[in-house]
Amino acid sequence: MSEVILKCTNLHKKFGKKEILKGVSVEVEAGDILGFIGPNGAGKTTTIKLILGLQGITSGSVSINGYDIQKDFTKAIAKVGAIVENPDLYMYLSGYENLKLVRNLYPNIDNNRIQEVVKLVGLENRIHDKVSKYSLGMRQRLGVAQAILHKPNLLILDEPTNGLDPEGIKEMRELLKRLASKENMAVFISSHNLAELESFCNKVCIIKNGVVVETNNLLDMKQELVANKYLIEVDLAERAIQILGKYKAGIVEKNCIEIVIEKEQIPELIKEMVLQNIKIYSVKQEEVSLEDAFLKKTGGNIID
Amino acid sequence: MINLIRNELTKIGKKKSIYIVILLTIGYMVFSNFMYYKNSEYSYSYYSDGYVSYLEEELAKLDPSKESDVTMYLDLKTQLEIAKLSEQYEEGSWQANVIQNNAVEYIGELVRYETLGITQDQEYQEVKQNYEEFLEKLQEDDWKYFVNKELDTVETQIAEIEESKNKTVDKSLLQQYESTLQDLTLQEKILQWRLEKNISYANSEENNRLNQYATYARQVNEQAQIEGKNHTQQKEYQELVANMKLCEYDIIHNTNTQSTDNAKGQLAYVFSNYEVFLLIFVIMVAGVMISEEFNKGTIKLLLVKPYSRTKILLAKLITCFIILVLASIVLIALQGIIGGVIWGWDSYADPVTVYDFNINQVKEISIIPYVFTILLARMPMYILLITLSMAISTIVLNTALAVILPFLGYFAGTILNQLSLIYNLQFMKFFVPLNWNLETYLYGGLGEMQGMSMVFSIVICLLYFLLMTVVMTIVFKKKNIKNI
Repeated sequence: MSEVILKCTNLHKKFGKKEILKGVSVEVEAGDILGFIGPNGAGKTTTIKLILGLQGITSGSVSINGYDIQKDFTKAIAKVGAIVENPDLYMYLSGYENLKLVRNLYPNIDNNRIQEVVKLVGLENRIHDKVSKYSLGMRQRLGVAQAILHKPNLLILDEPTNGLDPEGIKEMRELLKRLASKENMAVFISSHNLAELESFCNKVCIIKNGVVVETNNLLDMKQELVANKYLIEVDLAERAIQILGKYKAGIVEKNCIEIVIEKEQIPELIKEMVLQNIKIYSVKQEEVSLEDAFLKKTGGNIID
Repeated sequence: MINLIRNELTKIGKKKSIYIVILLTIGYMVFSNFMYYKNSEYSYSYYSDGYVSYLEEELAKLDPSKESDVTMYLDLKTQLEIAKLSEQYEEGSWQANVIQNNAVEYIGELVRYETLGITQDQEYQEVKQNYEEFLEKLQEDDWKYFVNKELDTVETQIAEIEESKNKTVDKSLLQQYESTLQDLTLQEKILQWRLEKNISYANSEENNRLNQYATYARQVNEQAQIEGKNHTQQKEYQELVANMKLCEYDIIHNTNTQSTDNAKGQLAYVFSNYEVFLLIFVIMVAGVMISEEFNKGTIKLLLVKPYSRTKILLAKLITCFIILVLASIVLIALQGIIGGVIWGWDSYADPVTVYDFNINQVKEISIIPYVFTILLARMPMYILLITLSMAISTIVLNTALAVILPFLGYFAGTILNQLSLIYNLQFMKFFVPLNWNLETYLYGGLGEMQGMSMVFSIVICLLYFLLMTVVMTIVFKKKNIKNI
């Protein structure tokens, strides 16, 4: 068991009579990159704000590095870096001045660390320009630089790719990958944009209407959904189905069949088909994207 | 905490709007000093250019032989003659002023005799002779003659009154004599000062001061008669005494400490003249400080740092107070320099004089400690307005309101103060505007209302301050950061 860094237990949040969160529990361990996924209005940002102490918790608890966020705020927040919604930057200051403001608020950050972080996010050439002249992608990078300046062991990012173009999204993804390995921090990242989380998250937590629908290891989840489904490309699909009558099989396309089968049985199956003179062009396991998994789990969000 | 404050100062220092306000302030101060300087050189004339021709035209319409016109004619003719005589001398010269004050007694008579055609009369000859002597003395440039003459008259009158006083036993009459005597003694004193200090009738600071002294002293004499003064009257009396004593000080010492027509005088009033700019500056800073960060979302950056919210708010409040102190010093320095350049630097060596009621004496204070004393006395007002601005900024998160409401408070406070003094609304003394300017208590001065003292005012100010900061802190701590 690795160390638990962030632990949310049964979080509830009410705004007036409206209950936004109805018991959210989630854990992040050291080394985890957790994708916090849900459709718009599911309560992702609210959860993050509760974690960061930006909003009062109606009931439940958040503990970071063993400190309760409500009782021990300063200790709990000390090793957390965060971007909530948009990066919070002072537009009339330069990127460097923004970083210096952050540096002043933590002990033991020297100028070398600023240089290091600037290099890490790839802003060396523009760091002394005013932030108001930055593109959205550059602001996001600066936001990340601000969040990791004090070497946090938990990085919380709220939709870091929001509003970025495909190029920007790719850059951000690469930046985060680089960070996770280089700075060795647990990352809690929320998004409704699944495609890019898939490639580097090792855990997902799916939230819908303020309730956690699923928390799982990404591979396990895929496995479960895939459930040994294979696609076989053949010359005559209809004949193949007849031969494979004893298995659960179906025609997908004219010359492609889908079959649910144990892995060990596959050579047997191929042999059988070859003996029956069916030409096999390819056999492959069906790929399931996080997107499919997500849609299956949530089935869309109902905003009430 | 210090780091938080340092960050706040950095953020403020990088804003352009700050520098725009500073530039505007400097511009206004230069302009205002310059206009005031120009104005101080300007002297108004008794007669506008058309006055003589106007009088002549009016006279032409009147017929002195008619019974109905004669009074009017005499009056206008006298004025015309005085105006003509005046024109022979420079404006503001002692002659012109003496003509203004004294010529009517000669010319009036003369005009009457001449108009009515009784020039053969013995009395007419006497009048004419007196008038010629009057003209001669004017020509001779001997203003002391006129002083001595006035002095003679006054002394004679005093002797007469003394005599009558000794004869009478009637109480009301006695009182009347007494007050007349007071007035005459005052005149005597002033005339003696003229001789002693060599102050002619010509327009000058010194002459002006003598006149001022006379005005104040007369009012003091009048007010001294009132028995059982209420608080307002006491306060008024106190101010009159102070003004009178300060004039007296300048006359006796041949100084000019009361004048504002120099760099020192302008500096002494720097806060009454330019405090609006100081307030614009600090309230702009304070009002924006919280609401802008909330509205732009940058507050989140602060709130996820390892500092409690109370500390963050406190740091912002302290930053505002630092800015206030800095801005005040800059304002003093600016006026010091601008005043020095425009009016000349010499006057800074002179002291400021104030009348200290604790020791009943005029006290000399040099200008720098004096200005800072005034600043300190006005500090509660500035601090409370800043706190108000921050409180509004925190509670409603609206920058416009946070800037405008304190100003409304500032101006409405002045009006409310006046109203409550006029209508003697006692409960208003628990309302802060009557208390936030401690200047009234300086040097033993009385409070604005019965039962008010410096301690009382400070306590009231403190209560308001605490109330605002406590509410502000509670709201700030509970505030949910909404989505934007």
